[in-house]
Amino acid sequence: MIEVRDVSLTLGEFHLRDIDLLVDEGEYAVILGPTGAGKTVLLECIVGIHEPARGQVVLDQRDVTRMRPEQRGVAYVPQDYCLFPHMTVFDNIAFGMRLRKWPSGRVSGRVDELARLLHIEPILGRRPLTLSGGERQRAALARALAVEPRVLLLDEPLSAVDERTRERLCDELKAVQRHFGTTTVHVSHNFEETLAVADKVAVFERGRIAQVGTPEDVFCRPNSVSVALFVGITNLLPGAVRPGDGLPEFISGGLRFAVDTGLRGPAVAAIRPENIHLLAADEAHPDILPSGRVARLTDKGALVKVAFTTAGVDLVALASKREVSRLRIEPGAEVAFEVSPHAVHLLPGDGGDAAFSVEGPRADGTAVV
Amino acid sequence: MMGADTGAEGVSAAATYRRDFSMRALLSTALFAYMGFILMVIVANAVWLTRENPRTHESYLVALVANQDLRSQVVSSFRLSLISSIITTIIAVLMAVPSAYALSRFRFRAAAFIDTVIDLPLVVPPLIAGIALLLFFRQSPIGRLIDEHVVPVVYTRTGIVVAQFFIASAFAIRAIKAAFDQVNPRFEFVARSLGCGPWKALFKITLPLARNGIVAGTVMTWARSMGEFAPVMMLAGATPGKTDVLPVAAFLNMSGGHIEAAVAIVVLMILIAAVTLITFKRLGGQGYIW
Repeated sequence: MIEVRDVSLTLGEFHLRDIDLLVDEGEYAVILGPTGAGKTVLLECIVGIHEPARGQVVLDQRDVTRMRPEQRGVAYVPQDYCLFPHMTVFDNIAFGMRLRKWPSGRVSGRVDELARLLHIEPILGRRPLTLSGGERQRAALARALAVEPRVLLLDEPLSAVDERTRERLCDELKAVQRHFGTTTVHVSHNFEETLAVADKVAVFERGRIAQVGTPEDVFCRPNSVSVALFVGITNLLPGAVRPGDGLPEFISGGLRFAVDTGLRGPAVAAIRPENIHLLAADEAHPDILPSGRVARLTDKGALVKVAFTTAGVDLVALASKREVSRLRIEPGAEVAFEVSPHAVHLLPGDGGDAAFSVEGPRADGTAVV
Repeated sequence: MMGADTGAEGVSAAATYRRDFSMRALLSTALFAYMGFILMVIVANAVWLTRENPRTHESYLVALVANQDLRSQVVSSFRLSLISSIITTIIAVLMAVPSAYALSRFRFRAAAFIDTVIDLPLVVPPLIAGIALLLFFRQSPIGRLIDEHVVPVVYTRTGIVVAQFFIASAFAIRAIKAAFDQVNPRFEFVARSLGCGPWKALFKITLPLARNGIVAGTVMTWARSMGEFAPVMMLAGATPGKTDVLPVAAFLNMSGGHIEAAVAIVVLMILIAAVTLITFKRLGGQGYIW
């Protein structure tokens, strides 16, 4: 179990402010945040590379804040893996075990076990500089797991591998973590990666943790406009909730729709683009379903991003290519849409001043949307 | 972002750039002119040795080899240079490795001040450094205490090593610090997270990874010590047969009219310099400034 209590630290241009984080035994936590938010610094505080100016790091009820890295039992895979270039992969993996003076039979047994698990048996005799990104990642993971750590820390473990390898490694990471049950903290700026592995997500924003929750919580129910923007909720509508007949109604400009909430008064509606369901304009009754005019289409590979305007409000929906051609969606066309009351997440208040600036915290190009 | 993967691919990029031949030729002129100048000077010296002395009708090299006094003087100078520079290098590197590591890894309050002081011996003209050293050991209380009661320095062979050390150490620290700078400090942190103590991490990870750079720096430190002239002459004097290291011997022979001995030393020292430079570059040495 990892407890980060009220940790603050300034390191050059990075500031960590009042970080509180709890990772349960055997849990896989992802710290998600944009590049430069200070995620690595936090990880390095847990490793013991930096000593926080304030606050505590507690591992299994033991305060390790002032302890040296080698006393903590925390294995660490840095972003660039840092495999020791003057040793073979075998010697890299064996490094920590040999320091613990394990008998050589036990060392090679453990190396073999990990190599089998991570599919790196053929490269055990090679030097790190000759390996591909994926091989390095696996070797570094094996080296970290070899010492049976209580805690595993992964800094952007998949950022240096190509897209296809990343998907496979995500599954493997999760499987290996389940296999050993190691409490894990993984730093990432990538949503897909986070969704694939995380039990718990902590959204990191300019040196603070903005929200902690399950992936579902963070992606569908962000607690602030900036987190919403960061997790790819492009539809953020300022407005107000009014009592309606049956369900309350959310009104934003000329747009109104039913929402399922106890909230009343000013609010910002956050709607994931994939939760806006598009229909053909002539199929839908204009009194029941609103419609809008398509502004542009952006090809996202499997899906198409459809930007449209309705009642003076700009919205973005995601549709499959089949839907786009079936509904004849093209710039200038009329399209009807439907939003389920449960798909609208409401943030109380007006969202703050930074709310709708496009320059606010955003994800980089790796976002799902 | 591709951190681990980029390094190796970027290196040879210059070789594949599109070339504009006329521009290349024009701009390279200065480079090749200067290189030609250096090579001409070297060749002239080597060739001169094989030329015939118009008075004695034998080549200068033959005359030098035939003259036993002169020959044994050059040989003993060479031996003196070799021994003193090796001793200097050992002491300088033993001092430079910890210093360079500290400079590379630790943050000091007065980092700029420390840096400047360490570099001073490299930037101050060698003759000036020599005079300053002489004054220290002859006129200052601490220097005199050392010279008179601990170990005689002024005008002794010890003085050769002290003078060489004063300058070569600065050089060794620079070169070896560059070697440590090349080693990502994360390696040590990873090692420590795996249970390695700080000293063990230094010896098992950082030192082996910096090894080539340290060896390269050592080689250049040695070459620098071999070539030290003015400080040696100031502090150790120029006593033939006692403190005449190769550069001093070359100077003495020039003044004494034995030009063939001087030129022989010139050619010898150029050869040594070339070999050390090649070794240095082969080992990937960096950070050398004079």
